[in-house]
Amino acid sequence: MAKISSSINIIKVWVVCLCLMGCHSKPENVSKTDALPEIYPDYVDVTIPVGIAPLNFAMADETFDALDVEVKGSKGGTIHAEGAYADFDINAWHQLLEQNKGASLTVTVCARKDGQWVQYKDFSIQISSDPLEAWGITYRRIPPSYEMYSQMGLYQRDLSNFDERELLQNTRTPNQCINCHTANRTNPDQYIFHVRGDHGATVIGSEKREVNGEKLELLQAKNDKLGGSMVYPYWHPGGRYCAFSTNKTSQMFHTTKKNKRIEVYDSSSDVFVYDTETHTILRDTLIMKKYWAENTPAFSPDGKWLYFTTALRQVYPTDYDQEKYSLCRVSFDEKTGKIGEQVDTLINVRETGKSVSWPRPSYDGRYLMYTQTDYGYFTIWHPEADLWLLDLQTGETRPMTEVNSDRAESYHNWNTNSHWFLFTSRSENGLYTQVYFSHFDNDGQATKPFLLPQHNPRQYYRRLLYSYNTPDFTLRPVEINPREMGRRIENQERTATKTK
Amino acid sequence: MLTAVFGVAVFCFWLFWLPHLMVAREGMQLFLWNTDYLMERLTMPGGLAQYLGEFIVQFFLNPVYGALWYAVLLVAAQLLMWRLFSNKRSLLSNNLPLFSNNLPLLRNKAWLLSYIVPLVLWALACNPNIPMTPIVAVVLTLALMNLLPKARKARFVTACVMVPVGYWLLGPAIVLMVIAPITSIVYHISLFVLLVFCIVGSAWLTPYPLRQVARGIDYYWEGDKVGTYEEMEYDMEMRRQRWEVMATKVEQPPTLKSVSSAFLMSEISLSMGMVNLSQRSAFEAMEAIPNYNKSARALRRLVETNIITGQYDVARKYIAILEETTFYRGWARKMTALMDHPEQIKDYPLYDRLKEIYDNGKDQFFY
Repeated sequence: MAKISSSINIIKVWVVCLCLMGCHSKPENVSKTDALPEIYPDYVDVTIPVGIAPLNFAMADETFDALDVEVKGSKGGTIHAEGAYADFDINAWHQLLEQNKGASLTVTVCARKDGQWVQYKDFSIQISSDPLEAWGITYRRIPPSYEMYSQMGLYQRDLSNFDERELLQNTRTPNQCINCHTANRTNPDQYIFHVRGDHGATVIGSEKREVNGEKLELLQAKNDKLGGSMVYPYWHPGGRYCAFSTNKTSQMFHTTKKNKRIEVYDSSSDVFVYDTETHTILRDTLIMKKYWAENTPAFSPDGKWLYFTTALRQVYPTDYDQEKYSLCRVSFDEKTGKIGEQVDTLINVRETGKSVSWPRPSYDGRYLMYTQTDYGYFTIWHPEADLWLLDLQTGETRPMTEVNSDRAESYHNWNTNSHWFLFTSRSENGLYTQVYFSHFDNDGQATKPFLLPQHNPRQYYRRLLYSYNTPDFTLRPVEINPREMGRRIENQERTATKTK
Repeated sequence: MLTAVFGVAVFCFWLFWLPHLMVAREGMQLFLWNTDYLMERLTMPGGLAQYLGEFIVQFFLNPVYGALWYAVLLVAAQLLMWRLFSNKRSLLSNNLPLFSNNLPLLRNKAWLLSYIVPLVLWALACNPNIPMTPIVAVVLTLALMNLLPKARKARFVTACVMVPVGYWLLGPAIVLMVIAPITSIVYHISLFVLLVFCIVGSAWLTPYPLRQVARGIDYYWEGDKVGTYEEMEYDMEMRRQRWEVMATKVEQPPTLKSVSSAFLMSEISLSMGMVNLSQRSAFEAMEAIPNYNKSARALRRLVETNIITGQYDVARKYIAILEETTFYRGWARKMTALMDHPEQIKDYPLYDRLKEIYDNGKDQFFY
């Protein structure tokens, strides 16, 4: 009886083994080609940081039904993946990257189509020795909608794997629009975001700066004297001040403009600085001019300058394509909370004929990255929107051709050592924005961008009917309790703001 | 016999009286044959009922099938209720004085009471703000109640398992199990406490406020975003290209304030050659869906508008999604073939004419 049982077990093991062998198809009768493989996402010859999640990929052509991939490190180590798509073991992947820091990986791809295996020309992936200095990223995910909005949320994503966590979804705060999460220099201890709707608020979270024993503060959504909401925040590095714009935003919709759907514009906008300690909105006529639209502020990394964009207001809709923003800066005194008396124009629309938005200085103070469009400032609806780079030492500007496409690039930001940046792009389909990363070297050159990795990237991005919006690095996970946050927002208690 | 008449009545009511509500419901969902879609629902209380409800609603594209589904569901509800009443093993017949042997006349008339629940469900189904989820949930709860054993102890133990599991799969409709089989007050209190615990626990686990979890996450849609019967009717007629309805009945132009009126706007503007407005209206309709569902109907329209405007990449994205549906799959494949061979647009006179209008039109703005 025992023998029979033993024999049955052996047969079971063999059946399982045979099944597994049947599922796994090794490349046979492989023909070789000199062409590089066309893979999705396109990770061919990209540069990545140590610690990034596995760059899983599939063949771009879906008629390939099997893939066999070998990744070999120039300093040693090999990993292997096979199946419908390359799904690398996370631990083995990280070990390989750590082992080959500052070196490269060689990727050998064999793919099967119509029963025939083809081996493509090897491609490489460079592993930078510059650390990412970020646990992950934060972002908002929203549908690329017109006026109505449905589900949206703020999320954080661990960049070493594929885990995503909710910061706040609007299912917790029904019918509210949740706006962009903004940390202070990627530090999750201090952040800000807006909520629009019946329970509107500007939410400020601060681990270090407790107000009345609370780390979370909900400001009233609007200040009557300001005349609008607090929009497009950027923290002063000291953490006490935060620059905002206040915008009266409208939309109009193209009837037959090629590849353009929406024009978002402001009937007015101003820039101001908010003092988180005294709850005071610090206004200055220099950045709140009557016939000018000041917008998209950002502090320099040393906190001594306030960058912003400004445009002479135009008549809508007739002169909509004449509203073009210049890049300016004004000094800022952290001790008094006052701005200087002279505005410098760094990029003048009279010279370029183009419009500047979203200035983002690198944290080492050397560069300023911005988005350039033909007109307007709401870049996501402008296919011509490209990333540009201003060298703050030389004053020279250049398009970042390394990362730009013929579709909208925008919403960029730096990591803390300024050797990596992320941005959103609609390059894949022209509508749904995705997050890309690029390395930035000491000579000011960027590398080919790579798409935010996903476990099964083709399936994930294909099914996703949402855009990634205003991503930023985060040093550590953001400590937010979504349930408690939702409860606080539903509660109408708000802190009033003063104006000065 | 009466059950059959009831079923026919339900069928006729939906087919001839409210076909537009069924068509409108179908436009407010995107049922996909993939595990992500299933899992997304199963991770929420009431998720199985929502999944099955959406499975059924996809058939509403054809009102004949929709009416048939309603007839099946409501007849099932009646039969299950009748079984609860009539089965001697069931609790009701053993414990409710109404059905006791002391009152045989009333017991014989119990079949009348078996129509109460299906009639209530019928009324609820006519409310545009009540989706299919609670209807399915109630029917399945009645089915579970029929499975409760007769012996008191076994019944209590089984109910203690069924209430939390049933709550997670079907939502608060499981409360019927808590209140209906009248036995002892301890039984009811225990199960009620268990259900409250499930609801409060679910509110901790899911990204919804407690009040919405308690009410049923997809049991009721607040607000007026679904649209009126009138808007739904006009929309259905426009979808069927019956312009005379628009010409004779519609007194005010449609707006983008509800899903139905936005879809109506999309139909009208496409017919008038305003492709971008049709596209916007379809997108707004999809985003206005109260339970945050996406819409296969809207995606179909977006495929059309993106093909006409030459935005093939995003059209292909939508097509790939529609290929995972039941009833839009075949059409999606035709559109793939069209994009692979754009010159074949001549075979689609409407698209060809709209493309010509779009390519040669002067750009203006609408608000």
